[in-house]
Order: sequence, then structure tokens, then C-alpha cells
Amino acid sequence: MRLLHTADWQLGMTRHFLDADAQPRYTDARIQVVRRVGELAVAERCDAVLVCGDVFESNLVSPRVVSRSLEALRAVPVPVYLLPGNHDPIDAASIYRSRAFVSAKPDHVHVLDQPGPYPIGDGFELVAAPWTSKHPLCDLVADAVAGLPADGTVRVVAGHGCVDALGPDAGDPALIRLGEVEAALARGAVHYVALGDRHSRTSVGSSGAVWYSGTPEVTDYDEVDPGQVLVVDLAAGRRPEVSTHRVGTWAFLDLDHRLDRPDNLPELDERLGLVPDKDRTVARLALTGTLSLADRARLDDLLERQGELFASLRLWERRTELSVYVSGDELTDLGVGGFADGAVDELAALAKGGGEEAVVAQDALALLYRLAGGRA
Amino acid sequence: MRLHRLRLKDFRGTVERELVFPTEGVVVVEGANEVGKTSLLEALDLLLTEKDTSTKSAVRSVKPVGRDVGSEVEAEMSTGPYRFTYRKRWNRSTETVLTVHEPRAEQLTGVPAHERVRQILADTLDDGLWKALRMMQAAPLSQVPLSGSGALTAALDAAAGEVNDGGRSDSLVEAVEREYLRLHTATGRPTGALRSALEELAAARQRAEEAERAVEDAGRDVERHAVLSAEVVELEGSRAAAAHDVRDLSARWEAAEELRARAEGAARAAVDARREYERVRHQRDVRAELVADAARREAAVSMLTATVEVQQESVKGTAALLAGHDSRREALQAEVTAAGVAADSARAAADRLEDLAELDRLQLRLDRVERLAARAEEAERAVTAAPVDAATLRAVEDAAAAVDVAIARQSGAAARLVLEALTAVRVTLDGAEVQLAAGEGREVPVAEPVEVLVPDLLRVGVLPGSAGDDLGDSVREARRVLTGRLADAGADGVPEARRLHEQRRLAENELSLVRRQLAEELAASAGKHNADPAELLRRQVRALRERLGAAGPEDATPAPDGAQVREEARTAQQAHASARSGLDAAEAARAGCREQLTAQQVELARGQSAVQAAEAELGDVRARLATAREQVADADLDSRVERCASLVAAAADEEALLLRRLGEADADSLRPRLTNARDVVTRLEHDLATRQQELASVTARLEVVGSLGRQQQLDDARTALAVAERQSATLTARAEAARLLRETLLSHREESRRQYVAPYREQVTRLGRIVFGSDFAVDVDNELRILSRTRSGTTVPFDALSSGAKEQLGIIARLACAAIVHERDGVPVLVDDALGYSDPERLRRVGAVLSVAAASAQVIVLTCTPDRYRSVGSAHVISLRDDRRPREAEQQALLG
Repeated sequence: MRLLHTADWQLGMTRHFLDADAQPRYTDARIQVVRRVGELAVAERCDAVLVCGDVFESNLVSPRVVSRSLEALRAVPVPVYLLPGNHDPIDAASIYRSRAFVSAKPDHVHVLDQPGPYPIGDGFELVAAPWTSKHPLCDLVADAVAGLPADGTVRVVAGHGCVDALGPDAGDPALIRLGEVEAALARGAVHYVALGDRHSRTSVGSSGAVWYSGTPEVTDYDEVDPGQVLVVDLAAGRRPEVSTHRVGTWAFLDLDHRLDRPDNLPELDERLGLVPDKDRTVARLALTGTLSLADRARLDDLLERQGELFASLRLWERRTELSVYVSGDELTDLGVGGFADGAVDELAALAKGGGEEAVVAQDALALLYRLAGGRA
Repeated sequence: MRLHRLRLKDFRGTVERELVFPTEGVVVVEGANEVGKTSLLEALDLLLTEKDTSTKSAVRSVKPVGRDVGSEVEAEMSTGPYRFTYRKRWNRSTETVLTVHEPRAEQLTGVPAHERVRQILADTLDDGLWKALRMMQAAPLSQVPLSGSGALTAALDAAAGEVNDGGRSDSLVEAVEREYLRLHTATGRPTGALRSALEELAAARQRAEEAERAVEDAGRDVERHAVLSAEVVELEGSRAAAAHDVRDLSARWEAAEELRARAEGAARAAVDARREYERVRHQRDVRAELVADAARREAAVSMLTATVEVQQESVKGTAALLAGHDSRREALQAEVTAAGVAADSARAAADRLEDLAELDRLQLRLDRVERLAARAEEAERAVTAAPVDAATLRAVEDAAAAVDVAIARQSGAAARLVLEALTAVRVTLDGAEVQLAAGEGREVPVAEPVEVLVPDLLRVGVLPGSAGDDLGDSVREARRVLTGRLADAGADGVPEARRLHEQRRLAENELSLVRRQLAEELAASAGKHNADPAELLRRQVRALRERLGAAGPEDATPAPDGAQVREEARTAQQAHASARSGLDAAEAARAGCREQLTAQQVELARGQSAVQAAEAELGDVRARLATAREQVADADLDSRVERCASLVAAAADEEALLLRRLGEADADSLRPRLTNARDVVTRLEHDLATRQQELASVTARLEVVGSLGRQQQLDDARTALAVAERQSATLTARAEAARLLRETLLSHREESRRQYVAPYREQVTRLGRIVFGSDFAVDVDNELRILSRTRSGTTVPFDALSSGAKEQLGIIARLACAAIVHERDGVPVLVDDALGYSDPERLRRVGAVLSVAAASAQVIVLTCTPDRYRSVGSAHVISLRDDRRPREAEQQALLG
């Protein structure tokens, strides 16, 4: 039995830093990845697709997202099992009970909305631990595996949430206790634990049978190894074999760059130029250093020019620290003189300081530079 | 700019005129009114500003009157590096010709020529200064508008030590101002794109918050749904338990109620039994009382009967006693009558005896009275016979005394003859012999002639003086009075009078004694009658005699003894009184007996009626007893009482038993428990219904929510908010940058202006001192306006200065500018007939200023009163004469 393990599709997710052009493409990419999962399942001869939670970004996503998602799922030729996670719990407002979902759900799509075993083939079972509210008060996975017999049935646990070995919040009662899971694995009652919630692909513990697949399409900068799914080869009497397959097409990128010397700007330009698939890349720049008025104008130009190419290119405000100085004759070259010189000196002094005031002073200098006829 | 030459042809009234100006110094252009001075300036302005093709009224109006010719102006000037000749003709045969001499020769005509000049002027001429340095005749005496002048600014900058940027800073300020005003209003509020962005941000924020609330609402509904579902299950369980409680309690309560009904029946039976018992016992008690009553009444009747018998005996005894009393009373009455008669006669005898004694007594007194009356009459006669009473005697004595006094006075006043015997001698003095011993003296008053005869020896006669006559008269008068009085008294002399008076006094004493005795006698018998007491006495005697006479007093046996008679009368009286009191006692005894009898008879009657009443009641009682016994015999009543008592005990036992069972059933608490259990059910059902309703509505809401895509809306709203935030942040940053840049530039410009105010003020002060004296000073603001003038320690605001002073300061300010501005940038100072307000002294001083200033600038003064500028020593004077054609002039004269 081969199982395609994925999770955290977050269908319907929007990213507010994407502009009106990039956002629909990103949304579409999250749907398209479902189709690629189906294609991969065929290519890898998988018997079923298991999605471990957070299929939808929310129980309140628009009916259009639901119908388009189901349309994509319809194209998947193998059974698909959807586990409700913390974003889409099986509560009173559950998306899985909405008219949009129920009316359009293909037959081969199953919602694991009850905790417990679901047979998926001769001698194979899924053991589901669905979320029924956003704040469960117990370890759902531990409850699901408790009392399962080691009777030769190959069992795959479908769970969602943070594992205590990774989670910083020890007080959370919903943490999945790795000890319980590994004990069940050890006594042969379960054979693979498929988890969702963590967007980074992660193997938990030392068993090699407890995995977060990560999200198939990246959602944030801090995700490690996203954009992939796992293909799990299961058989009675042996350890599961797990292989990783790329399906994601988008990238979130953080770039640090220092701007101190005049040639640092072309370097930055070059670095950005080397980024592939810019139209599917969300980049965040942490720029530090000191710029002359002319370089500052050049930087503005550069960012505007490159911004056109990227899905999103922004300065990471928190980590960006640029100061502007007036170099030598920059302004006198432009013919600025008289009392304006005094003003320039004052602004330059302000710009070298810190905080909001310095930023405003830098902008003021840049404006002066522009109004005086300076060119980048 | 320097004006070297100006030529006008057919320009207004001027047919043709050419003026040549020296490069430096003052040029005074003088001429009469209407001669065309002001036209010179107008011509220069038109040349520099209006194209030859212009048809503006300013251009058309320069055409000479009545001549169809073009008006032509030609000027030669230098400005900046340029020196050129420029000519234009308007209205007719229009033409523009420019010949540039320096720095490169150029020749242009038409529009290109005009444009070229405009260009040259724009590059080299400070238009603001050009206009500012004119002082026109007609203009108000306001401040010189200098702040817009780049040349002046540059000059002042230079003077203040600033780098000359040729006005670029100012144009930068303008550019910054424009940028600032793109996003700010003049008062600094956001406008334009910034305002839109901020408004959009606020709106987006609100939309995002609303969307967020919508999602939160849904989240709350989900939680509420879960809570409600759990509550419904719990409530249903509770309701079932409560319903069971109700059934259980209800059954127990019904059983208890039945028990209670039985207990109440038993209680009622017990009450009935007791009531019957009480009734029977009462009946028995009544019977016993009736029997006792009959016995008591029989005893009473026999006792009363005995009493009546005793009373009858008493009545009989008392009646006998009364009869005895009656007979005794009659005997005593006879006795009293007899004693009364005896007493009356005894008293009559005693009375007669009394009257006789009285008559004797009265008669004796009457006799005494009559004797005294006779003596009184005698005494009265004696008194009358002695006439000298006390008053008469006193008159005589007084007169005698007066005579003595008169004599004494006469003696006192008269001379005195003093005789002293030296030896015993015998003398005759007024006829009387006087023996004098030796040493004896005698003194004789001489009131009358005195004669002293010493026998044998001497006769001495002494006569009184005339004064003694008056005194002699007095003596005589007094003696005359005395003689009269003595005659009245019937006496010969005073002693005689005294003796007569003594007789009178004795008679009077006798009279008063007799009268007193009479009065005493009468007072004893008379009482208080007014009548004559003696007469009263006589009447009493008469009355007694009459009373005795009737009884024949003379005939009565001579009164044996008064005392005896009176004793007899008293004894008879006592006998009578004693007989009366005996009768009275007997009467009283009889009355007491009578009373006793009456009382005893009443008592008897009462006793007899009591016996009758008691007998009647006894009859009644006996009849009632008989009747009662006919109904129930006494013995039956006793047995009935016993039977009822046992029934009462049985009923009480039954009731107590049932009450105990009721208490064991806890009936009292069952009722409230049942009520409470039912309330619990009701409340639970209500709670359940409320929850189910709410659950239904929450479910319905959630179904709707599922189709709304609220998350999507929230995401969209957040995206829009992020966009708006970015947009407004960008614009805010731009606006802030513009604001900071503007503020910084403006504050530096202010600062810089403050610096170049100093050289300007210095120039104004330098020139002003020539006019106003060495203590002159001015205050100048950053716009180079003169704020006030100080002179002789007095500071006056500019506006408050006199017209003359304003005018003078106006020229000084312009000349100061001209002096400051760099030669390259300078413009001519044009003064059109100013100083009309200035006095001759000031005019002289202003002339000196003009001379001083003109050393480094071109100053052109137009005037129709050349005298005003005579004092400008270095002036180059150009006189204008009227060069209009004679015919034209004649016409003008005729028209004027």
C-alpha cells in the first residue's frame, strides 16, 4: 500500500502583502498544487491521498474556494481522505458540513470527521484524530491510538497539531505526546503517524515513522523545506519507506544585503537578478548601511525596477536600517547654495541620527535632491 | 541695467525727442507740465514689454492725436554683459529692430528680436528691483517692495557674507512649497492624495474591523453552539430525573392526603363524643342542683313562719303599753292648767309692788331737780349784776399800762436833775421833802417844771425844754383813754375795776357749778330724749301714778313685803314649769311607744309576705323537679354520663393513632417538595426550550455563515487595509519629508534674511543721516520693510510718519538699494517728480543724498519744478521744451 501524505493545504489563504496582480495567482497556485498532488499520486502509484488537517484556511472560506477546491480534487484518481484540523475543525460551522462542500463533494473524497479507524484496504486502516473545536482539551492522537491492538492490521494514524517534542508551550493540553505515539508504534499497534500543522517538512523522533509532510505550497518566510509531499510505502511486517516529492511552485525569500560602498548597489541588483521564477517569488529585503543622496535615489530606482518583476518585493522594515548622508558636492553640483546650504546641513545631521526623525530627514534630503534636479 | 539713450518719435504729444543719459550720476529731466516727461517712462516700458503688433489700449493710446502715424521708441541700454539698441514702432508701419553690440554683435528683427530682448532681460534684469526702484508721482507713499528682488537678495547675501547662488535657493523654496502644497493645505492639513489615502486608510481599517467582527461573531457562534449542545443534553437528563421525583412525591402525597382525611374524620368524631358527654353531664348537674334547691326552699319557709309568730306577740305587747301612756297624759294636762292659773296671780302681785317703788324713786329725783333750777336762776342774776367781765378789765389795764409807758417815755426824754448831797441835807423836791445823807444822790427827771428847794438856801427851778411838750401830749392822751375805759367799767380807778371783776368771776363760778349738778341729775334719768329732762321725769311720775291709781294704790293693802311677794310669784312659776315638763316627758314616751308599734306592724306585714313568696317558689321548684323526673329518672342520668365518658376516650385514641401515622408519613414536607419538584421540571423545561431555541438560531446563523465566505471577506479587507496602509505610509512619508524640508528651508531663509537686513539698514542709515541728522536710525524687518524711524531719541512707526518723511524715506530706501546692488545687476532709480511734500531744507539734504547715491548708480529724476532738485550738485540737467508742431500747439491752446 502506498499512501501520499500531505497536509496544510490552507485553501483560500490570502497574503495581504501580495498586490492585486499576485494574489489571484497565489490563490490559484494553492488550488493547482492539488492537481499536481493527484498527478504525483498516479505517477507514484499511490493507493490513496491522506491530507492531515488544515485543508481549508478557515471554516469561513468562500463557497467559490470550496467548489474550486473540490473541482481540483475531482481530478485526483485515487481516494482522498481529509482530516479536519485546527483551521477547519468539525464544529458547528464546519466547512465539511456546509452546503457548498456536501453538495459538490466527489464520492472518492472522504472526511475523517469521526475519531477512530477507517479501513482503506485489506489489512489497512486509517486511525483518525479529527479536531472538533479550535481548542481541544486533550491529546486527540493519544486518545485515538489508546487501546488499539497489535493484531497485524497495518494502521496509519492521521493527526494534526504540535508534537510536545517540538512545541514550546508545554502547558497546552492538546499537544501530541510523542511518547504515547512511539509506544503505540513500538507495540505494533500502529505503523505510521501522518501529521499536519507544521508547514515545514519534519521527521519527528527517531522512529522514522512519525512525519510532518509540511505544506505543499509555501505560505511564509520562516518555513523550512516547504512545497513537498511524502509518499509512504507501507507493508505488514516492515518499517514504512518515506520519500519526498516536490510539488510547490512558489518561494518566499529573505535577503540580507549591506549597502556601504557604491558598488554594493549593483551587487544587490545582480543578486535579485539571479532569483529564478521571480513572478512566483515573494522577497523581503533587509538592507543596512549608509547611502549618499544619489545612491539613495539609485536604490529607490532599483527597487522600483526589480519590484515590477517579483510577485512581491518589500523592505523588511524591522531589519532594514539605512542612513543617508550628503556627500561632498552632491547638492552644490546641482547649484543649490545660499541659505539652502544651511538647511541641507541641518537635515543631514538629522538624517544621521536615529528613529523616525532620521527617516523623515532622509526622505527630505532625497526630495531636495530630486527638486534640485539631481539624477540617480 | 543702464539706460544710455532714449528716443521717442510721434509718441503721444512728442513729435521727436532724444535724450542721452550719462552712465552714472543724477540726471534731472525738467520741463513744464504736459511736456511729456512721464511719457518717457511709459515709452521705455512699452518698448520692453509690448510687441510691435500689440493692439492693447495702452499701445493704441500713445498714437498722436489727429495724426495717422506709427509711434516709435528707440533705446540704447546695457544690462549684464549685453549692450544693445532696440527700436519698435507700433500702430502704423510696425517694426522691431534689435542691434546687439556687446558681447557679440547680433542683428534681429520682428518677433525674434522681441523674444531675444525678453530673454536677455529675463537673464539679466531683476524685474522686481526694476519696478521697486521707481518712485512715481501718483503712487501712494507706501513701503518699497523689495523682498522679491533676486538682485537685491544677492547683493545683501554678498554683503552678509553668504554664497551667492543667484536666487536658486529661492526658486528651490518655491519648488519645495509646490511639493508641500500638493499634500498639504496652506494651513498644514492633509489634502489631495494624502487626504484621500488617509481617508481610504480609515475606511479600510473600519471595513477590516467589521469583517473581523463578523468572523469573531461566527467563532462565538461556534463556541456557543458547542456549549448549548452540551447544555441541552445535560438539561434533558436533569429533566428526566426531576420528572421521576415528581411522580414519586405525587404518589406519597396522595397517600398522605387520604390519611389526613381520616385523621380529620376521627378528630370530628372525638369532638362530637365530648360534646355529648358534656351535654349529659350538664343535664345531671342541673338535676342535682334542682333537688338541692327544693330542700333549701323548704327550710327557708319554715324559718320565716317562725319569725312571723314572734312578731305577732311583740305587736300585742306594744299596743297595751300605748294605752297606759294615753291615760297618764290626760292627768298631767290638768295639772299644768292649775299651775298656770296660780303662777299668773302671783306675778300680778309682784308687779304692783315694783311700780310703787319706782314712783317713790322718781318723785325724789324730781324734787332735787327743781331745787337746782331755782339756784341756777339766782346765780344768773348775780352774774348779770356784776358787769365787769374779763375783757372789760383787760381794756382798763391796757389803758393804764399805756399811760405808764407814756410817762416813762416822757421821763426818759426829759432832762434829769441830779442831786448829790455833800452832806446830809434836807431838801424839798416839788414840794416834797427829801432827806439826803452825805454822799447820797438823787436823780429827778425834768418832764414838768421841777422845783428844788434847799431850805434856806436855795430854790432851784428847772423847766423842761420844748421837746417835752410832745411827750406831755401823749401822756395826756393816754390818761384820757384810761378815763374813758374806767367809765365803761363803772369804776373810779383801776383797783375798783379789779374788785368789780372779782365779784363777777365768783357769780359765774356759782352758776356753772349749779348747772353741772342739774345736768348730772337729769342725765341719770333722762336717757337720750330731746325733750326737757325735767319734763320727761314729770311725765313718768304722772304715768306711774295713773297706773297705780287704776288699781287703787292708795287702797291696796300696804305692801307686806316685796321680797315675799316675789318669792311666791317665782315658786308659782316653777310649779307651772315643772308641770309642763312632766307633761312633755309623758308625751315623748307615748310617741316612742307609738312609733315602736308602727315599726313592729310593718315588720310583721313584711314577714308575712316573705312567707307567702317563699311558699310560692317552693311550689314552682317542686313542680319543675317532678316534671324532670317524669322525663328521666335520676339514676338513668348517672348511667348515661358514664357511657359518654367511655366513648370520648375511644375517639381520642383513634385520632391520636391516625395523627401519629400522618406524622410518620412526613406529610407536611411532601407538599412543598412536590411543588418544588414540579417547579424544577417547569424551569428545566423552560431552560431546555430556551437553549433549544437559541441552538436552532445559532445553527441557522452558522448555516448562513457557511455560504458567506466571511474569512474571504476578512482576508480581502485585510489586504485592502495593508494596501491602504502602504499607500498612506508612502504618502505620509512624502508629506513629512516635504514638510520637514519646507520648514527647514524657510527657517534658514529667515535666518539668512535676518543676516542681510543689517547691510541694508546700514545703507539706509548712512543715507538717512544726511537728511535727518546724525541721530537717525531705522528698524527694518526681514522683508526689508522699514518698520519705524528713530530720531532725537523718538521712535515713530512708519505708517505714523508725515507724508514728507515717508517720501524722503522712500527715496532713501531706493537709493540704498541702488547703492547695495552690484553694478552688474543694478537698475536705474527713477524718480518721477517726487518730494512734493518736502520743505526746502529737506530738499537740499535729499539733493545731497541723491548726489552721494548717484556715485554708484544711475538716477533719473523727472520734474516740472526744477527748483526741487537744484541742490543736487552733480546733476546733469536736461530741459525739455514743447516740441509739438505749432499748429498742434495752437489747437491745444484753443482746447485748453
